[in-house]
Amino acid sequence: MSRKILIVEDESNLLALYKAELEDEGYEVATAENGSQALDVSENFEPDLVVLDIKLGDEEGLRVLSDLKNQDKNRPVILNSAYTHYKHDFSSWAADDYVVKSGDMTELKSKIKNLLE
Amino acid sequence: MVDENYECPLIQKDGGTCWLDITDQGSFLGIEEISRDQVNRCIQCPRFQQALGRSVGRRSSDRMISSAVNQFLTVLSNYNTELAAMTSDLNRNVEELTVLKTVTEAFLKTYDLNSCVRIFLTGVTAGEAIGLNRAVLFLVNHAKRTLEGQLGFGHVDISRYGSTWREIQNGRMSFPDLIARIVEGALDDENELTGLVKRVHVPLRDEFGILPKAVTTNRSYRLESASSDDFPDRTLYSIFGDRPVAIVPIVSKDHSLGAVIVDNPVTGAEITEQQVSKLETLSYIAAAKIDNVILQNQLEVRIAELEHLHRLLQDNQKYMVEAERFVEAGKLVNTLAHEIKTPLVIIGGYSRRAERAHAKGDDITHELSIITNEISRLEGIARNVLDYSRKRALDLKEIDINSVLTETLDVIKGKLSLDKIDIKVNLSNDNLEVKADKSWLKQVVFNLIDNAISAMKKRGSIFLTTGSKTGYHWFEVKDTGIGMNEETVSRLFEPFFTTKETGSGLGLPVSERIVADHGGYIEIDSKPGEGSAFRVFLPDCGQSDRKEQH
Repeated sequence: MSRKILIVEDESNLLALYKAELEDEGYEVATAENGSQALDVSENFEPDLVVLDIKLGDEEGLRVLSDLKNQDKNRPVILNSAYTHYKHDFSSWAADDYVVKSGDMTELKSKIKNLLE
Repeated sequence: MVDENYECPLIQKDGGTCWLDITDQGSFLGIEEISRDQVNRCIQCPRFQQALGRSVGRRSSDRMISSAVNQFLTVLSNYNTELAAMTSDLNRNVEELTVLKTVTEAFLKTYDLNSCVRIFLTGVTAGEAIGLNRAVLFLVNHAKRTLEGQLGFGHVDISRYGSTWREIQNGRMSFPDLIARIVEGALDDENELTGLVKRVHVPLRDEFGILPKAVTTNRSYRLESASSDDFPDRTLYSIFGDRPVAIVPIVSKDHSLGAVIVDNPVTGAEITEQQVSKLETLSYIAAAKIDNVILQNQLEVRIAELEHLHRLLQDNQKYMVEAERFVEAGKLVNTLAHEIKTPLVIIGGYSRRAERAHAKGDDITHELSIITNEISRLEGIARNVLDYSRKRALDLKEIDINSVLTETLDVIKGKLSLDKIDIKVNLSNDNLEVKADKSWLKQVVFNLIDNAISAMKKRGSIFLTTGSKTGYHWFEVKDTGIGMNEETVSRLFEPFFTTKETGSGLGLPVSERIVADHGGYIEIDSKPGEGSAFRVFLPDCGQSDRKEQH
């Protein structure tokens, strides 16, 4: 049975790209365009891992991270952001890993693989 | 008829005796000297008139009468002499006043210190004025506590007195003409005497002779023959020594300004007390003027300083505005980087997918179309940034707002996907002419409609309406989209503030700038869940014209 991944991203084109790339890797992928949708989908879909887009200083994004962890604290969450300096932000420590957004998905794919092993 | 009971007021007042009652006829009224007043009264006295009439009627000499008439004539002759002296005094006063008037009027026409002192010295030396042969002016240097030679009228060497000076002294050129020429800046030649006295600096202390003494004591001095004690300065002694000379201080209300030294080397004439007195009057007027001019000059210097400061402040303000712009530019770069990041990630991702698909021989049309879309988005961001930062040159023409809306709508129909959007147009029938740059206004309309479409997630109704209110015409773009809360509305015109997935955050700031450049403004009405209305007001042509006139 293939592993399930939820991708949260408000850019629909980007979302479609992630979905296509991860499906090509053999994952079952669900998508959400915002925080509340993410929690709904997560409850029903029960993903093994979440890739969460967080904008710098966005309260909602951090709340979604904490809500996702409350749902299942053992389920890994990878933060996916445009900002490289987000890695040092205390609030993001709850996440299991961190990826800077890039057109090259190699890093994201390898981190997903590591966390799901 | 003569009143026999008339009583002489003189007799009553002075207790004297009327001459008609006196047997000793050698005197009149018992008084040796009679005054004009007494003569006047006796002539009018009825008793005297009767006595005179009787003596004339009898054709006989009356010793009393002839003695009285003789005395009367003497008094009248004295009176005449007095009158002549008074007239001469009066004439002199009129002359003096005329000179002062000419000088004062000339002073009113100039604010140049050089001209002022020239006018003053011309007053001192011109024949029609005080008429002294030579005059030298010293002014106090308060910082150095010295008297410094400024200007000399006349020559050092008496034999070299030129024709111009003679003309001045002989009055061939009238005094007012002379003054007028000085005010015009003529007769401005540096003479030998000026060159000499300009080198003379005398400390403002009494032991340095009569010149500082005149200034410190505020007194005029008239010397029969100036000694080397009077002029310890060698140059001054060589000019004025061993001759009659006068020194008159120039004192303004509360402080000493300088002094003038005068003499008569050509005529050799003694300097009269009257001349010194005239010179004092002239000095007093000159002092007031010189003081005024010095103050004026100081004021001008202060004004120049203030203007300089003002310029510095303005420059500083410019720098601050620039610094602020740099900060804004810094934010702009940061946000811009973020804005272009997403399209770049998408382009990068789909390019790699396309590469892989192409290698397998799969169709890559889908990937390419996404890439093309994202590139368009990048172009849009670039265009908006350029629009925002560039200074707009407005090509103002009288245009109808209705035509701007319809023309923009045509463009939009070609560019944006409007499948599920119902555009309802309700244009005013009035002629809504505004003075505006059509292409820029179209940009505003385009931005607002583009925003409306985004707000409705590409599904809903857009209402385009136009109308007028006092002084303004307006157009409105209203949507049935998601609407905005107050906080979002308050930040709408901030550069890069965006709620759109694909927005640059510059459409509204650019639109607002364009509208403001036209003298207009934008009103926003929005409710979350209900939609938003943007109403753009532009001054009507009447108002633009009125503004131009002001």
